[in-house]
Amino acid sequence: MRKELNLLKAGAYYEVKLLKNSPGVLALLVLRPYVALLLTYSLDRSGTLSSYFLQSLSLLASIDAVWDIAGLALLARWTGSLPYLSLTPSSLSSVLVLTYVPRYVIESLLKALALSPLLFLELAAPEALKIVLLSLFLVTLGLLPLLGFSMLVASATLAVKEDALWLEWVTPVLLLLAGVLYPVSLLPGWVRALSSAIPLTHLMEASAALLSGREGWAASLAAALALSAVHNAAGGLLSTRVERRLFKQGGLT
Amino acid sequence: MLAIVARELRKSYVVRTRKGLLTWEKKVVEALKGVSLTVKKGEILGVLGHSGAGKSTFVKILATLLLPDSGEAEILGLDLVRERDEVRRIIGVSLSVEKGFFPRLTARENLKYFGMLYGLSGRELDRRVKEALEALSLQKHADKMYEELSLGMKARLSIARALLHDPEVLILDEPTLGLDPVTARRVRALLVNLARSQGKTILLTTHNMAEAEAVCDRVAIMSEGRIIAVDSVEGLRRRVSGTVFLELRLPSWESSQAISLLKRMPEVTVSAVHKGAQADRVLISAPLSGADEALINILRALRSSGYKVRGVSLREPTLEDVFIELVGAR
Repeated sequence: MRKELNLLKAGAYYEVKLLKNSPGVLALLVLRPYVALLLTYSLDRSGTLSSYFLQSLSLLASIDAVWDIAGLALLARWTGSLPYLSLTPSSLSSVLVLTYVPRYVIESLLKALALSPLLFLELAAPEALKIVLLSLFLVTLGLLPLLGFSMLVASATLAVKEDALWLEWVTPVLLLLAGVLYPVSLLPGWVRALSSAIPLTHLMEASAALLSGREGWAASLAAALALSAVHNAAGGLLSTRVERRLFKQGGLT
Repeated sequence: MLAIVARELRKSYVVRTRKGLLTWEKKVVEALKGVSLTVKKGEILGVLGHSGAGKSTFVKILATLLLPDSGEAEILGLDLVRERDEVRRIIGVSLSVEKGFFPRLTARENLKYFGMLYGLSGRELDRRVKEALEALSLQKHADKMYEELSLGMKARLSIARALLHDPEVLILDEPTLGLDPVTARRVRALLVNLARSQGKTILLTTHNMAEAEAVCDRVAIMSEGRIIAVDSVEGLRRRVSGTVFLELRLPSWESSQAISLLKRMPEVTVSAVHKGAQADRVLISAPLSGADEALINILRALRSSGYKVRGVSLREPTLEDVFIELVGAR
């Protein structure tokens, strides 16, 4: 547990220093939620500001989780720090995932803060605050289903030479199947069956139910957590195998 | 006591070359062909070899970054494969002097980040970072972005990181590659100090013969995936003690013809040719017993064929001569 805590602390330290040293990155981070808001609004105009708020944060968080963990692996390779990350007492996949978790939380918080003035303008302060906190809770929870998958994408990204290939098709497919971009109910039957096996789908359902005050959010949340456990275990196992292969072939240097 | 033990390490890579749109040609390259080596505690051992000799593969295996196909290796009694995590706590590694850090963090922030990954925290982390920066004379540059550091500073920062968790064994791949002479000398002095005053064991690879002579207690010469000699610099020199080295300076426009003539002389061996703008330096080895006679014969042969000689010197064998004798003969 101590090892894991060290990795979380290191991740938080890296993120804080990176944002302090890179004002451009910070500015982009604050602007992106508005772009996502415009996108979600243009896809479906029947929602409420609260639903757009949550949908925008979920959209960005889902994209970032997959992209950023793989991106961290690519950055480590590009900067030549990959061997040194591998040499720490934790496994490479643990380093990549656990140092990312604080980044995800900090960035989600910043994105929510950036977008929250809209909510406070439209809704009463207590209601707006409730939506912000609920969205943050759900978005933070939303990382769980993506951890194992992101770990696998990161390992695969290191194993293959065509780095961008994975990232270009994996994230849009995941977002489509999970109903982040398009309602799952409108998709063909076989795609719906596939999407029901993705934990993010159930998390999106739980979020929608919670926001609209519908019943069934607890069952969706339970399904999301159970499927997350399965996905993360499978992702962890597969990425360990990929890591072992990299270790054998010299792919970590 | 032995700090590093390697027994019969072997490693092959499969290299795939694209032949057509969907066809590949596979080729197996043997990088290590049974490398055995021991390094004593507190010793500095240099691994010397041409590019492609297998030095980096050997270092990566010792650094636990690459799995050998066969053979065994231990660091301070810990098996590199079975006890990999424990080994990683007692080794400090530097693989590149120009890369390996995050460009948008400062030197200090990078060290702190890697220190945290090693489990250091609070005052202990601050103290270690401060000590490492001081040891490498980097205090003044600690708050500069990594991307703004010079190559020499980056090289020192890489060694600082390797020292951060106070490892007993340092594994350094070309620690002075690309550095200016002053910085390189400073890094060498630091390595000697680490071994002598702190008892650290250091294994380093280098192309630089002068560096190996100046820093290393023993030198292992590697060629084509094998270690072909391991000894102290003096011991290696003695291997060619029956040989004397003549260095001729020949005008560059006619040196190739002159060298052809020298190569036909049975009593001498042309070991190396260093090209120059005005004159080429031709290194010739000859048996010590017949050195005078060989020199006279060389000068006579060159003169009678009309070739000019700009200078002649006769000297004791250096590590470079030993290297050329051993590797060049293979």
